[in-house]
Amino acid sequence: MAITEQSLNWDYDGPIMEVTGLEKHFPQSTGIIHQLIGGETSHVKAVDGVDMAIESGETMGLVGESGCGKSTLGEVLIGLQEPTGGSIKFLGTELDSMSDSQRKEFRRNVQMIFQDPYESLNPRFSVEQWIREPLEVHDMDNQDERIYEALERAELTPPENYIGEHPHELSGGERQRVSIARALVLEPKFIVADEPVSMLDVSVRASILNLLRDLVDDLDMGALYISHDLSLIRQMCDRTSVMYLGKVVERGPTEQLIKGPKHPYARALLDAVPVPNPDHNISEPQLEGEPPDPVELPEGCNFRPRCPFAAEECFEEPGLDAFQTADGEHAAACWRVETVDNM
Amino acid sequence: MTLLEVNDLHVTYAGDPDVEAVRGVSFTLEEGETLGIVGESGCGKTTLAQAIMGALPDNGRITGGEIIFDGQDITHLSNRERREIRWERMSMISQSAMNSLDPVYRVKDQIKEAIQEHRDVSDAKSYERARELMELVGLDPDRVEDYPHQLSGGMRQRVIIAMSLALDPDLIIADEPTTALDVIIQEQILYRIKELQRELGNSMVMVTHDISVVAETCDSMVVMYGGELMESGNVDEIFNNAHHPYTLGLQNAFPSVEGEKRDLTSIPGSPPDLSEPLEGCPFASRCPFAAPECEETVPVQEPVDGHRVRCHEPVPFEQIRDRSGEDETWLSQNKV
Ligand SMILES: Nc1ncnc2c1ncn2[C@@H]1O[C@H](COP(=O)(O)OP(=O)(O)OP(=O)(O)O)[C@@H](O)[C@H]1O
Ligand SMILES: Nc1ncnc2c1ncn2[C@@H]1O[C@H](COP(=O)(O)OP(=O)(O)OP(=O)(O)O)[C@@H](O)[C@H]1O
Ligand SMILES: [Mg+2]
Ligand SMILES: [Mg+2]
Repeated sequence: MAITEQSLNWDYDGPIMEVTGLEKHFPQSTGIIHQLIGGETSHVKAVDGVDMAIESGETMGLVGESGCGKSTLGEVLIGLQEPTGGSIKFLGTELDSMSDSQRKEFRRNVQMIFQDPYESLNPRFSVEQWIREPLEVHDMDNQDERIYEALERAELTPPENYIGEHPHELSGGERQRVSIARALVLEPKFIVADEPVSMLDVSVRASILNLLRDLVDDLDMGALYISHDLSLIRQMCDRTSVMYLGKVVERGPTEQLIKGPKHPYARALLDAVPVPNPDHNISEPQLEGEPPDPVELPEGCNFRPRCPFAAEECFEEPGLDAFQTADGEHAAACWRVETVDNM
Repeated sequence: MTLLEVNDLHVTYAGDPDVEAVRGVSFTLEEGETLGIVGESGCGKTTLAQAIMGALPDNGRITGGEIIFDGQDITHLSNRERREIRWERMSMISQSAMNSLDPVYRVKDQIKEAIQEHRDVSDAKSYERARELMELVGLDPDRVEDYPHQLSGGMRQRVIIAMSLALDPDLIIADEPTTALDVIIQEQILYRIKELQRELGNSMVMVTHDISVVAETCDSMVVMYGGELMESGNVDEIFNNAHHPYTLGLQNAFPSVEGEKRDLTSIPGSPPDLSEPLEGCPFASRCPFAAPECEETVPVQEPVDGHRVRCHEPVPFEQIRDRSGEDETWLSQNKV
């Protein structure tokens, strides 16, 4: 790609995607009476101060319960939603300070793969039309060639067997491959995959996961992989961030996090994953209830009200403290890591 | 004591063309036990569950075999006779039931209706029972006043479970009871279901595509493919000593957080079209071990008492087990 004055800095050697203090607060619709008496609008703090850096060629896992802010974070990263605070840098350039042409370049280079291969495809479009659409939006040349190449990358081969098909003529696995082909056709440098295999049959999951992993490697993309299931994250991700009520509470190399989670929330998420081993009987859950709506958050540590290990010190908010290990940096936002470790 | 016995059951959906969704499935379920039914999408799990429950869609018909419940042949009961058994003696938690609660009625009225449809019970008694059931499934009894939209997905699913327990049935059929939920809520709900089963002593059929859920919650299991039973037996036996290439394929395709990380295999190809009659093994076209005889017949083997495998075992089983863990085995088109 020719480097012109306005182009993004493709020689940048820092993280491809970097966010600091990222916030996405949704104003909560309150009653009219409340507004009339001049009550303050409360906010749903879906993303509440996230720092994260993802390198090219790296897949970052994002795990947490339903409603903890995973999809919102993913959508803010690729510009589908405007953040309400903090900064996003792509290739070292602040999103806010990008020129129009840089913004366009950014949009072409970030893409999303959604959970539901049934809902995310337009039923009236053929595979070809569906994959061509983003090329037209971005006014790209050599469209036919690009469509064929994307289908081949998504392992829908030979492409001529697929271009004329409509969604109802495809299996679930094939549909998700079409979504992947559409996301890839612009040759993005960063993708967000939001639960991309949870609707698929077990027999095809592995092939889609392997495909995504190979693509990240071969195309040297950065990726954020979202799931509530650590067993899937384990297959895909180099590093993993654990999210609770809009905040990252633990982050580390995936294998290390799975073998030795530090935060009580990460422990609970891991413990809840069923394992294909009959010697394991379902055990008493470590966590009760569900996370509260992130509107009025508790004082101190967010997780305190549900935490089995909460103590006096937890009324103060813990930082995401890093400890260096042989395999890289592992960090947890919990005062009680050592106590719990020794239990 | 055997509570449920299914013998060579066939179910067909009328249409253009007809679909034979269940093709000769047999198993038994003992009192107090949980049986898992696993298999991929479209293999006939829900159809089998609905046939047992007597709740097939209008175009569905039992076209062969029998269902014996507590010693009684219930295969061809009239609708009225069926209704007596349904809900009172067996109940069903249906797939995506949590979205089937009526949005305009409060939870208490929906539970009340479930009770009063079958029993002559006063409103006050039903209300008491509704609160009791809420507590049983781990919900705040005051939430009987809520409308469904005021509850999270996990809470709605608990309400559905509460309703299935309303009349103390002997058998509960749960069709993917936690599929749409996150792992934390899934664990809470499955744990609750198992606790209740220990307290109440009911039997259960658990339909799921997740073999980990079967491993953690079931005593015995049936692996289905293309409307047919491929392998069945005690859960320990099937996990430690699976013989069928399809069962082994599923096991190797499943990720785990336990032990060392390993590469997952996938099973290329797609399931057979159930509107076509089929000779031989339905899995043959995807099976890397298939031999010519597999296209013709499917013998039943019994490696251990109670462990049934419908397979020719075209190559020695030990080889099937070793090679099914390698991705190349599944990717190679060359049949043995
Ligand atoms: N447009 C919106 N307006 C108001 N609140 C929202 C909006 N989008 C999301 N939220 C709220 O933000 C929080 C985070 O939602 P989000 O969808 O990001 O969670 P998630 O982790 O992706 O959950 P799931 O696993 O169920 O997909 C939730 O409380 C949700 O209700
Ligand atoms: N009412 C119906 N009329 C015609 N065919 C049907 C009907 N219901 C289901 N089928 C077909 O019967 C077969 C078995 O469907 P069934 O729902 O029992 O599968 P399943 O194993 O429960 O799948 P899933 O895991 O997706 O829930 C499928 O081919 C399906 O398309
Ligand atoms: Mg989401
Ligand atoms: Mg089903």
